Amino acid sequence: MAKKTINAQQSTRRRQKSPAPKPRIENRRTEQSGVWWSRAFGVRSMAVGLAGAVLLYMGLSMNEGYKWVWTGLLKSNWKVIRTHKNATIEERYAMKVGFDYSYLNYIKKNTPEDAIILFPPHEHLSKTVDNQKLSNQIGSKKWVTHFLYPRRVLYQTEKDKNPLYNQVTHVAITAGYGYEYLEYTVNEQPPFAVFPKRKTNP
Amino acid sequence: MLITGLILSILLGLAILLNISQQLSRTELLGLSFPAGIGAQTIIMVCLDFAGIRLTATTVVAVSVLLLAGLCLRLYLRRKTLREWRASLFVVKSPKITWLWLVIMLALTTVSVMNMAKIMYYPTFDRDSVVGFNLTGIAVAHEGTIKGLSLYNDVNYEPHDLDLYKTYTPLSQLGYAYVYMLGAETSKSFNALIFISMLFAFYGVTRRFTTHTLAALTTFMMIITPEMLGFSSLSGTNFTHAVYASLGLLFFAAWYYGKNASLLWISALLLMLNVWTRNEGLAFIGAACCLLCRHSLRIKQYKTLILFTFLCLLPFVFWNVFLKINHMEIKQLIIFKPYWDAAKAGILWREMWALFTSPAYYGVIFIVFPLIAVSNLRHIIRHGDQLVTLLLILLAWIFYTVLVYQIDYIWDTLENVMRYSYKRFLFSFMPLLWFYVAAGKNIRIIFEKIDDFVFQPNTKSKK
Repeated sequence: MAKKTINAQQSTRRRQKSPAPKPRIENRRTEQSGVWWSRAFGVRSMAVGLAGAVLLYMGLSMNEGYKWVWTGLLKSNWKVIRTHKNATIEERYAMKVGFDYSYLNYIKKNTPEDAIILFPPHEHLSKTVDNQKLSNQIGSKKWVTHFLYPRRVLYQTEKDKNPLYNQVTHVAITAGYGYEYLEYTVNEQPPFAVFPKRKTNP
Repeated sequence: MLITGLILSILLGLAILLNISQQLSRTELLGLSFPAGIGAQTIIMVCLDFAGIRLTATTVVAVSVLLLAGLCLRLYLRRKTLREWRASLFVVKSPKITWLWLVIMLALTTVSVMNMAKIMYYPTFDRDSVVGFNLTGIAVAHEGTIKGLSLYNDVNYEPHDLDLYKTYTPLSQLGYAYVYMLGAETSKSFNALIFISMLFAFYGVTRRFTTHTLAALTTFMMIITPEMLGFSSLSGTNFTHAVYASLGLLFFAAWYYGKNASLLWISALLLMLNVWTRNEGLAFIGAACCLLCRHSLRIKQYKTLILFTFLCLLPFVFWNVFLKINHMEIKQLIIFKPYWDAAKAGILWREMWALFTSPAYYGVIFIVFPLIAVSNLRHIIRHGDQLVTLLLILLAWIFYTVLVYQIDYIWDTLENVMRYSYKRFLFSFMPLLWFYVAAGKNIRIIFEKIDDFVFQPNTKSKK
């Protein structure tokens, strides 16, 4: 019944071409949004916002962990990022991994992808030479493999148990150790380097 | 190529979500699209490998596009049912935002931008990712296989070395592989998108229960949890797991209180991907299944429970079948027989207590949460206010602690596992705990009153 009434009203309106009550709706909207904005950013909102900001700041600065988040984690890294914003990927790796990365990247650049690289025994890996020292991570095969992949890595300590030992193509020199595994003599012997095991190797 | 590939992941996720539910808000859709899409793509990768198809950018993208087309077609065929959703998508309601909301959002944006910059700037350098997750990603992208991967089979590795890579379910590793296949220099875009997704999705789901201001404050407090924010910029799997596990349970709570069936399937999707990220995700599935079981017993209908449990466990079963068929089994570390070891339980409790009481790791949550829970006690007892959320937190925590207790620690001491692994596992609880703090009645009422105070009509000016 109600539907019929509405339909009847509409049809009458259509016939009479009476103006639709559009402007009034628009006016109401504007009015509403105006009130909404004035309240959302009014004096009360500002007072609550200010009080909230002060409370939040005070609460966070009382906790060691949150202080570390701001100063130790976010601010200090942001400063580094801003200072070295044009750093290459290699420079960024070196920032975090240090001399280890520079050394491993040098090996990567000077060996083919199918190289099998022999590293000296673990006790010779982290010795200091010319103020340069590799970290203990160099003793981890998987860690070194991450930076040298797809090259394969093994250590002199695996001589009797690793079937790849006889297929070694290159020798990594760490802290001056490793020259004894080369099948030829090298005149100039830098402390950190990589050499083909046999002279015929590329 | 990288950006196109990542947009594809987001679109795929969006199509999956819309096929499951039209009840998600725009913020939730923004937040869940990438996690859902990349999760689906990693499942596609394992399926392709299972079928003997080489994993390359072309094959993975092609199958993703086909799946996307199928999902879009399904949406098109159901377009009549989507009409209401489409209409709601373009409706801009007057948000009840205030100066306080703006202040919190400014702080949240500052923290997020600074952390995103850190994520994208530094390549992977943390040890766990370097020797495990990221290396696996690089190798899969290079070799185009999982089952034949050199890291899983090479004579160059000791058996226990090989086990390390296989112990973890593969979402993060394959996510990294996908990014590398698309030509990325580092896998960090995956971590950056997961981080930003967490912010949107958590804000969205919290907003279902609270005001805009409280949702923003909760999101801010959750994300600045010191240890979690620190780890979010690394390539470890813990933060990614926290995203899937916590959101899975939060959407479960949203389903329970809203009783909208589709949200339960969103929860199932997230819990599926939670166990596809880390095996410990079983603890979260267990918690959800227990409460669903309670609900099913009440209404005496079990179809939903069976389907939900089946779906949640499917990826875990699938991965273990994949390992078995491809002869990649790992040494079992879980002791299935129940036992009591007072010394082990003592260490577990002592180390756990040290973590809970350390303000440096988790901020104030372990002070705020018990206080709020106690203050809500009256509402919990009288009206069961957020009881399901509390039970989800409690059950997941109990299940995980039991799981840790039942593991045979042959590779490390329990103390170390508690100090380093358990510490990170607690990340999954941070969003849940902060959500409870906000959704519990007392805090909710305080913030509603603040909104009333700000928005109530100014009677003087009317006169």
